[in-house]
Amino acid sequence: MIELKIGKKGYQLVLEGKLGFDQLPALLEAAQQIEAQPKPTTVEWGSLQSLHYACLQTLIALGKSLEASGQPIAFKEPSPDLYDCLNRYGIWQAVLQS
Amino acid sequence: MENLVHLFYDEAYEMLEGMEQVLLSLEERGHDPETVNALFRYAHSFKGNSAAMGFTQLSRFTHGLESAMESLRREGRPLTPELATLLLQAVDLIRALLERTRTEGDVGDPACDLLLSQIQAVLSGAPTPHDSNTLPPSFAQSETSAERAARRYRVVYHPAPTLSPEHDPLALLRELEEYAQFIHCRFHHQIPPLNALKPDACYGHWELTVETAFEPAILRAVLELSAEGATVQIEEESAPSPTSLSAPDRSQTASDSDQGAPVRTVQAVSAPVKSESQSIRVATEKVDALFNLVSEIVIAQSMLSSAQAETTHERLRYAITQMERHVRELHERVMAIRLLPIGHLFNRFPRMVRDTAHQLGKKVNLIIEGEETELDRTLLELLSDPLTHLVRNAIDHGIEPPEERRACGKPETGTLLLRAAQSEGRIYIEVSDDGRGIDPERIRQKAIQLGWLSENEQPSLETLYDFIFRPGFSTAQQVSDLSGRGVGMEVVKRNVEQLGGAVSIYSAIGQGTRFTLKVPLTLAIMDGLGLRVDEEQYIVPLTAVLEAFRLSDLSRSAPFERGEIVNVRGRFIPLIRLRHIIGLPDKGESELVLILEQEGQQIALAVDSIVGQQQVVLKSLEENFLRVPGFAGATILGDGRVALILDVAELFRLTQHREPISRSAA
Repeated sequence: MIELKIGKKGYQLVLEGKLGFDQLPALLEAAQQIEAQPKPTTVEWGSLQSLHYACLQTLIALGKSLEASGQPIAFKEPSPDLYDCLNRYGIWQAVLQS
Repeated sequence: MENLVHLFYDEAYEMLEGMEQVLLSLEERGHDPETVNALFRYAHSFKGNSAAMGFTQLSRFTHGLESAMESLRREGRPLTPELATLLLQAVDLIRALLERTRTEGDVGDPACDLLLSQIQAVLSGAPTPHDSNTLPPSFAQSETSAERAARRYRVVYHPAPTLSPEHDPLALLRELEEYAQFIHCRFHHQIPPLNALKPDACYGHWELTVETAFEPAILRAVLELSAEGATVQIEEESAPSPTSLSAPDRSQTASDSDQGAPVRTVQAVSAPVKSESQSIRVATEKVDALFNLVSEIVIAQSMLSSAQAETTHERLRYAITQMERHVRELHERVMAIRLLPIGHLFNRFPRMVRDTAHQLGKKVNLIIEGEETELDRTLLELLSDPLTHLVRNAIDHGIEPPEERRACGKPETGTLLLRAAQSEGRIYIEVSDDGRGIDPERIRQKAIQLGWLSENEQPSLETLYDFIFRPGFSTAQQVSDLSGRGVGMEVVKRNVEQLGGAVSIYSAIGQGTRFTLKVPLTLAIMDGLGLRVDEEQYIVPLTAVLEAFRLSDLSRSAPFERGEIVNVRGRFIPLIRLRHIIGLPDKGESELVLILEQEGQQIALAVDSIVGQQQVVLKSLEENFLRVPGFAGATILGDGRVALILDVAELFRLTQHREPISRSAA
């Protein structure tokens, strides 16, 4: 599930369950919405079990876009399984650096 | 998602067919590393695809098989008949489970565990547990704990450039972890900001250090097979690990501290980068819809062409001529899409021949030739039943048991030949064996017994062979589940004739039998010759037309009561008049005669005039109206009128039997 909560001070992008390639368009749309009006953004993915690599790239790309706009992005603590996967495959560092 | 499901099932059945062929090849030719690798790859891909679809039970079973195949590959052991039979049974079981997944979802079967335990017992040399239902230890556990030292490799993995639902590098890395323990994994990327991101492009690659007892080819297969265009470089690090690798331990912390050991290249080969796939999978419904549309365009083009004569507008005439050319090419290209190699059909026979021969205690060597011959997909499906009957009959009735063959001075192993070839716009398919041959006297006796002949009648060989195709005819002593019910050969003839084809038999006692099926290349569009009788136009397939004469230029006679013959350059050819067939009186001497040829035989067909050559779309009379004897179908002409298409095979039969064909429907 992808939910974009829009607050006065920023966005909260909530990701839950499993994000497959089929969910990429929805994620992309949410990311583009953030990119169009950049604000501080928090990614909540504590209930996200797994995600397709294409979704991960989109999140990193969003982080780069926000960085270019001078807005911060914060990736909250992922679920243990997801963290384990991202860490084992060397991606966690890339996420933190985005 | 629906498309993905279709794709999964299409690929799954192809893989099962591939596994079956590879197993049969291994059983026949003995151990061959490449073939065993192919078998392993099939099982591996099947496992991955099943898991991706959520069919965990299917995936688990194929994982066990994959492990068994890995054991074959690693130890280079031959595929014994016992093991081949078990593995083929496993393929059957997967096929059955696959079918059940359509309605029952993630379904399993207790037979899977039993079969795996039997396979494992054969591999380990233990007695086969035929009656055990206990869950065998996992193959993966048993094989990977083999006392083989794990080796350390450096792997550089560049995923395929395009991501898709099926191509997820993270999923592939997870799969790789089933075969190798990750010591170190580094991710490199050039992911751009969102406005420059191409969402399905892959911007990352990985450098890994792994330890595994599996060979590098396995690691490569895991990463490369699921996505075309991926590249994998694998180098072995020279310091071997002192430990033997069991199931990889994912809990072990990844570490960078193991780097620095000297590296030597084991396999620097990487798959060629292909930026796009060489082929795409298209649903047959879409191809059929396209083909129907082209058929309608051909009709519309035909209408335009007939209107072309009525205009003096030069540019319009030129455009119509151009369009005619392009429509013809379009038709040919769409036709080519529908053509499939007959190997698709032939490939199911090695398994059937093996099982049938085993069942009957016979030895049969199947030879397949011309499997690359292409024909229309629809024809391919319709030929399946006739060929199955012929092949089964050849093994059941034709090829003798080994002891009988020995006694006749023949090799113990009989030969069954399946051959296909294309000639003059038709496909010829032969099913021949070197068995007993067909005994004409036995057929005659059976026909007498069935009341089809009197005791004293001595019909021609051709007539006797025709009895074989009659419903209820069988010379088999016993009815088995293979043959002997006297329905098979009737199906053969009926199906082939429905395709506009013909079946012929050649047989010699003690030497063997050959059935030849002749079918058109396609059922849908053909080149025809327009003929006129009074105001009506008819079409005859152009492939059957040899030449044309004015009837008055030929000498003719009626020496026998059965009809006229014409003398064409010294050849006496039976004459048949289209006017008679459709119930019209003769017109006099102004008629034209077409010489038609089929299977080396010729007949002369008298018509009023020839309209010209044209491409016609064959429409079924039976589907749209009802079957009309003497006519293979109908077509819509350029002026919108309907023309009947002559059934050439029936014209030949008519000249042989000289029975008038009624205009009314049968």
